[in-house]
Amino acid sequence: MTFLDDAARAHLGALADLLIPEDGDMPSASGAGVAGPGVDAVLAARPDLVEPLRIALALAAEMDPPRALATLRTEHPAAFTALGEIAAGGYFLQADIQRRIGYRGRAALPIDTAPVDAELLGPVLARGAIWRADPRGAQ
Amino acid sequence: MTKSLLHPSGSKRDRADVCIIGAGPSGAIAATRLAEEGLDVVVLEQGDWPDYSKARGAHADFEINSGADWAWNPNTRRLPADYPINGSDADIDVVLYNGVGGGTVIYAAQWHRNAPSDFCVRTLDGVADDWPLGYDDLRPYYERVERAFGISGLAGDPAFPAGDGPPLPPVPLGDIGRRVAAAHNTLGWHWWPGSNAIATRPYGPLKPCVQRGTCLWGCADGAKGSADRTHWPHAIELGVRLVTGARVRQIALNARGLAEGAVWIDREGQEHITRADVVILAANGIGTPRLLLLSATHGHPDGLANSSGLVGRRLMLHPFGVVTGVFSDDLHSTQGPWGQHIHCLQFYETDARRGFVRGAKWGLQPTGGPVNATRGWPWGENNLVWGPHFHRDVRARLGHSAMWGIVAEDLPEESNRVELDPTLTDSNGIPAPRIRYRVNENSTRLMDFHIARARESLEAAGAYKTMVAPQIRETGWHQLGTAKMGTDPATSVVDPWGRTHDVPNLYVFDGSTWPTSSGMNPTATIAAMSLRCTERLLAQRHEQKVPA
Repeated sequence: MTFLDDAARAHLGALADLLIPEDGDMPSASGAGVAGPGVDAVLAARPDLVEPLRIALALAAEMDPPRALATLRTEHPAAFTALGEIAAGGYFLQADIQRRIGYRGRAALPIDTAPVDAELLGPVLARGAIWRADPRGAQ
Repeated sequence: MTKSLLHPSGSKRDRADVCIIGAGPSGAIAATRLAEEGLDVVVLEQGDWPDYSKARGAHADFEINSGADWAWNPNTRRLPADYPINGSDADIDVVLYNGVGGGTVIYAAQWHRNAPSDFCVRTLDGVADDWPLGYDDLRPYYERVERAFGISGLAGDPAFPAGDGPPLPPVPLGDIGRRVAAAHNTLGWHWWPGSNAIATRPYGPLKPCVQRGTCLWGCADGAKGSADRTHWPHAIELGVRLVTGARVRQIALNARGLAEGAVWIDREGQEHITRADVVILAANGIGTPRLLLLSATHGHPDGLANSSGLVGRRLMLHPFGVVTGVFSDDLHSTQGPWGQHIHCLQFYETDARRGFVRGAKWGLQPTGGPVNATRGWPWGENNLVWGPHFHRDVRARLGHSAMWGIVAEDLPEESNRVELDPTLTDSNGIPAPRIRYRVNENSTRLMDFHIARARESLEAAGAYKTMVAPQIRETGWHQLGTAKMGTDPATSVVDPWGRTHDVPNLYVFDGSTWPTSSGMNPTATIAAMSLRCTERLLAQRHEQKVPA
């Protein structure tokens, strides 16, 4: 992404770290590469996020990160949402981060069609019908 | 040998027996049934076949990139077939799919018949209008379309009259379903195993679900009962001529006031006309009124079939709310049928003490992976996780949560409507629809009540925290009511069998005809109504007025 020069990536990292800070064994957004390979991967898949990111970075170039983030949230909510997508996407798409939180993606899981527990269904059936009849009769 | 509506000898002619506009579920059902009886059917579909090679459910980046082709909002998706929709004066954005299979390509596959009371809200509750038919009229058609779409579920739900259930066993309750079901038993509330257009066993063209939870973004696993899989291959085998990339701009009318056919534009911009004895609109609650309004003539200055003035009016979009609950235990809820594990109709029927009429259906769903844990959907914009507690809150939600999706009945109001936009057009220069839609006071009270009860449900199931996304904007999946059905031409657009009062060989078979919206996911009733109307058309075909 040519518009993401070193300064822009630094601004993005600062904003993203406010969203995803370091905590114990979990790195911050920038520590996990969100402002580097992370954002590149997200924008390659989601080009619709480029323009809102430009808005976020323009604000970040004008004011300190907390103020830029607050302004973004109140005055540019769509761009704020896009920044969140980039931060969370760039962060959680990484295998190491997924492993740390115990997430294994959307695996194919064979479906279980065992009969529904009759004991669990019993009380629903015992209460009887709850629908209202059509008083008009057959139409 | 082709039999025509008026020419059973089967001579080949320069016109089709029937031209259907739209290849979604209602068009697919009508086309299949008509072709089974030997009629010559042409279907015009502005979109293409869904390309499941572009579905992302099995990819590692699915959560951030569910695929541009599967975006719900046509203003976002912007495929060549998509027309823009001006929703700037609407509380809810319309979401739909233009292509073979229609809305079933991206629906969650929650499948419900309407309840008996849904057909008589005027008689029972003193509001809106009764349908000119009842549950018993539709019951045999429900049973047939449930077999055609490969519905899974369990017979005997006490929220509906007794009768045949769906052909496949239900999806598993899952940890979240069992937990909530037990809680509802304690509360004395209804619940039932989820009813879904999701195959749980091999069934015709469908494979068993593998529970990726990607129903809403194109089921590449081939388990979802969408019309492109359940109907179209068979319809084409029967001889239906499905034309994709065919954007209809007008219903042509002849001097006798009969529909002559459909004028359409191909992908290269060339204009064509498909002539037919009968034209059926199956273009959904937005596309159908748009086309009727586009077909205005000197003799029909307000649009075709619009002598009542109701074309485009009475739009109902089903306000949708979400309540999530967070639990201490790992409930393995990052994926699963999506769809619904269980549903609840405890508060579906009117109780005047609540301060509103009608009700809502709840469906219990998984909540997705870690990126989803950060989103306003389904958690609510006031419950975002950013900042110092980010990691704690994501871990708390991930796999440890469940969500109730609440489908609320909204009552018809003539001010909620589809119009032609004066300036916005599609890529062919055809005026786009403009939506005017406001959620009314009854719907607001209804949603507030149901959100409060859904919170109680999840708390009773052990949730230590519940969160609300009260009304999410991009949820107008169900477009209903914009070509009202009735017996009086002064107060309705079509008769009880979908025939327009004004043009005797022009029909509407989609959800536009609904007098009221119910609070159910509508595809089951749209499908059953299409089958019922099709068989009426077949039964009456020798009396059918045709243009030539």
